[in-house]
Amino acid sequence: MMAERELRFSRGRFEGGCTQQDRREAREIFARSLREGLGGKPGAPLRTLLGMADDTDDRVVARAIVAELARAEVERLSRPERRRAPNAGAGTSLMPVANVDRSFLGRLKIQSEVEGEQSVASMADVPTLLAVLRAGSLVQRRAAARRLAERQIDNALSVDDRRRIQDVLEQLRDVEIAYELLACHAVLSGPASREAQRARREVIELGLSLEREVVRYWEGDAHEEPLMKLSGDARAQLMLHARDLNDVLVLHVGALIEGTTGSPDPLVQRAMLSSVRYAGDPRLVPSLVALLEVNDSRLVIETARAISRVEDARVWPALVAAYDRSVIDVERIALGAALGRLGDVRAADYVRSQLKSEDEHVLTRALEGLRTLGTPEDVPVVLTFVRSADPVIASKAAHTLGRISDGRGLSDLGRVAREAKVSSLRAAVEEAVQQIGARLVLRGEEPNGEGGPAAFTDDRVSVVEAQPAFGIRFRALRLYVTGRLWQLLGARERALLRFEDAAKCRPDWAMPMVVAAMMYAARDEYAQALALFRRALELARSRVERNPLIMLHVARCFLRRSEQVERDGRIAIARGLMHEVLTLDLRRVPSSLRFEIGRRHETLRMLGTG
Amino acid sequence: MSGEPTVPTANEQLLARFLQHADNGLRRLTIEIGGEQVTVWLRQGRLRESCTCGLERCEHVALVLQFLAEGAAQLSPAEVRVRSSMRPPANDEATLPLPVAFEELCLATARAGVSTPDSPTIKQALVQLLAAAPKPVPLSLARWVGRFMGALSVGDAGELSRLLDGAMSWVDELRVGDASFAASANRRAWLGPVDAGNSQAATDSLAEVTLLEVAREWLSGLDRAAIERRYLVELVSGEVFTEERRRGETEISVGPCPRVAHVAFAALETAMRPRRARLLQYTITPLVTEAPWQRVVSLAHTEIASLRERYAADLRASPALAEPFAIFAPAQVDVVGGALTDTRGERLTLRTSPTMSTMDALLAATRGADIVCVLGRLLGRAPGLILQPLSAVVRSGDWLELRRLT
Repeated sequence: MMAERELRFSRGRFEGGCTQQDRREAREIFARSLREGLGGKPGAPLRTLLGMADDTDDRVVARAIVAELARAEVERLSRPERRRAPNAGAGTSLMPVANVDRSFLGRLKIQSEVEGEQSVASMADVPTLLAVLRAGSLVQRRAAARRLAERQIDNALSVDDRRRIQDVLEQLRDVEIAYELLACHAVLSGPASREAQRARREVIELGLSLEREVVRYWEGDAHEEPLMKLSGDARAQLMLHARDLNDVLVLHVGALIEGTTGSPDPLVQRAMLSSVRYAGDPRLVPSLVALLEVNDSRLVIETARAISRVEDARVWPALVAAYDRSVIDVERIALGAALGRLGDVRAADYVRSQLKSEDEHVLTRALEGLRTLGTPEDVPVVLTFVRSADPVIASKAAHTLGRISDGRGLSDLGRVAREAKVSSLRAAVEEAVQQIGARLVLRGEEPNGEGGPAAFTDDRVSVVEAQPAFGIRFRALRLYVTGRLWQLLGARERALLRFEDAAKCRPDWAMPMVVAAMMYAARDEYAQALALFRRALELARSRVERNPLIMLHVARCFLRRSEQVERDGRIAIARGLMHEVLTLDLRRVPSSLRFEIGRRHETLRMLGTG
Repeated sequence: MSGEPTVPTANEQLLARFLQHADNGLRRLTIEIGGEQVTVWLRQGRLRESCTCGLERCEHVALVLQFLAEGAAQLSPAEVRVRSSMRPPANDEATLPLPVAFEELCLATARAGVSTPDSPTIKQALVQLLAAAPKPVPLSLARWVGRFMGALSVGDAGELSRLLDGAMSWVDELRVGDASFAASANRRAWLGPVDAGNSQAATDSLAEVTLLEVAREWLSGLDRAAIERRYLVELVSGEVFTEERRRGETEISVGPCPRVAHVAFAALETAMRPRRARLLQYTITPLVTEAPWQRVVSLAHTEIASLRERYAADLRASPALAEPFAIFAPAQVDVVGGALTDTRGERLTLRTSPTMSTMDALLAATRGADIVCVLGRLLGRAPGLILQPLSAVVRSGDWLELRRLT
């Protein structure tokens, strides 16, 4: 057999008389030689086949093999290939190994054409949809919001159902599905709906004007990048609606993220990545995937957070590759948590092991990571962190318990809520309890005894304080009303004077201070406004925190003042301000502002630790 | 053909020790030193290190490597797994000339065989090749190494033979002392602009043309995802050009993808396919109207036979450096089979990997719009020609639009 071939392939060339079959066989022999290697095997037959002497140097043989095989390869690839069977399974989705949850929620699909299989898209029961909206996975929550909007558009809902939806939408502050919630709000009736429609209209108008600026920027007619001119919360608000924006603007954001502006700045990249964290726009996926490969951990962490919230087939493979390659703990945890959000729990054990870390950053990230990777078995460990003296860690642990949603945590959470002195912790615990309650409903379980949401009442609200004498109250009220009149007439100084008098007259009354603080804030005098807001919070924290309008001004004031002092180079003070505002109950503050506060706190914390 | 055992260096011993334990599940080592965590891991046959202090090659890394190397050196020779080599021991200090380093790599690959991707002989030959290369390693050479490592890791003898044969052809050309324009262009591609006084030598140029960027991707070079490549279509001739940069480099034209670049002047490197451009005087706009997309669609191949001809022609023109780019208008998209089909019913399979269904990615990127043509890199694999899709032109309503996959 070999001798026959030797004749045909003499001197290493395919000579006339060679058939297609001969060539194929020769190619196979060369390919096998290159695959298995020359080392340790008798070399003579191959040398003969190549028309070479037995003692030909390996170098020459190696060169001849690659040359013959390359030639044969090009020839093979330029011929029509033999018809082969379709690549079975090549087009099917390679789904990650998912966390096994046999409950209703675990089996609930987004869309299904299989008879008897439950899916959000075919669900009609409003209470169940609302429970999914609170306690489902990210894709389930998104689908539930879309389904609720559809149900309202169909006009097939009872008045009770509509009211129920409205109540839940007004309570729910889930920034991850803010876009879907706004869309759902917009199809309701009433002021909230009008507000949602107005917000969307404004963002689209802003997007259009920015698009013109973006074109001018790239064409060289404008030198300043338009998006970085916006404040962080305005940018975050804009990017929450990314899916409504035109390609030019979204691709420009992608270019900023990738750093293809000629002078990439990691700070700009981080700021843009933070802004797109909840955008969920598939058009950003190519830029985000590119960022998963960089050497800067902070960029990778932000990218992992943003990309895992995009429903797209390209996301999971990119995250798996980045996770397998990553060696830095905080980065690996963030990538593992991002995989968890997609239902891939390969990082669960690793993240659990990081709860023992003495590094506060690693511990915080691990607690966050368990929100997507944790199981009911993790509840006892996470509960120990809810009792932490550090309110940031305690709040993060409470959020994690809410996401894990196991009934066993309810009684401990109740105890923490009653004893908590920090508003943000109390708010986090209350939110967690609501989530757990919703999840229990979906699982068909019930909270045991003292743990139900009903057990949570704000003790501070029920404290009855001794009222000052009527005369004092009347005088203070008169000064306050006079102040408001001066304010309406535009006499600012006089108005402020009256409010100050009212506060002096009745030091337990927060309203004059709040109004005066808002007047200062309106003129960008945030330092003065901050002092007054602090006094108001000291006097009536729970009342102030329950008022969305006041809390909007409080949060914005802290944010702007932090920006001012940071510009002066006082990073530690700026960080302190962000830390302080994060201890307040920010549930009634708009998502974009809350998100920007969190982002700034994170950025300043990083700056502080170098 | 000496059968003498090699004497491994401290680094080789450490690498061998790592490889030995890799079979037992060792993936990375993390050591705390001076309050910082140093991690050592194996990637693409080389030991990598990182330190939480953020500096490269910092003192922490040096101390950890010293510590580990001492431990490795104390092992008995029997414990160190070093593949016996049939060629003389490599000389770590002496740097070989690049042509000799290529020969050594060709020899090492042929001897060890491509089914042993972890062969220390091949790795050593690669290290020698990189030591012989100009610094920074020219983009073409870095990409060649990336492709070589990729093909080696999956045991693709066809791709490896094409790469090695192309490189050896250039080595032959260099030895002959060919001074033609084509030979100079090849030399420039492999070695970079070697003649500093005449940096424009052996380049062509483009002037007063309009380029439309249609795709971008990150490719492996000396590291994973180390090179960004952009594909630009010249709207009159229809020729596709590339632009490339290393990660972190800023010497490349600015702007998002897609974009239109009106180029007053660009330098062209001609030794690779597609030819590589460097835009020097240009203006851009991110607004792409309908007409350029119609032009792209008109340039698309409709039959796989013509794609094959194009692929073979590119490979013959530039055996080691060609990575042909194709615009293909499929008659049908076979979602289940993961392939595109032409009017004759011939199938062009999309590239797939253990974690990635490219068809899913294509469908995700096109978001339900009608696919008019798919743009991507052609690859020659054992089953035949396959396509790595990078973007697609889709019909969205009455408009044509580009959707990027990567």
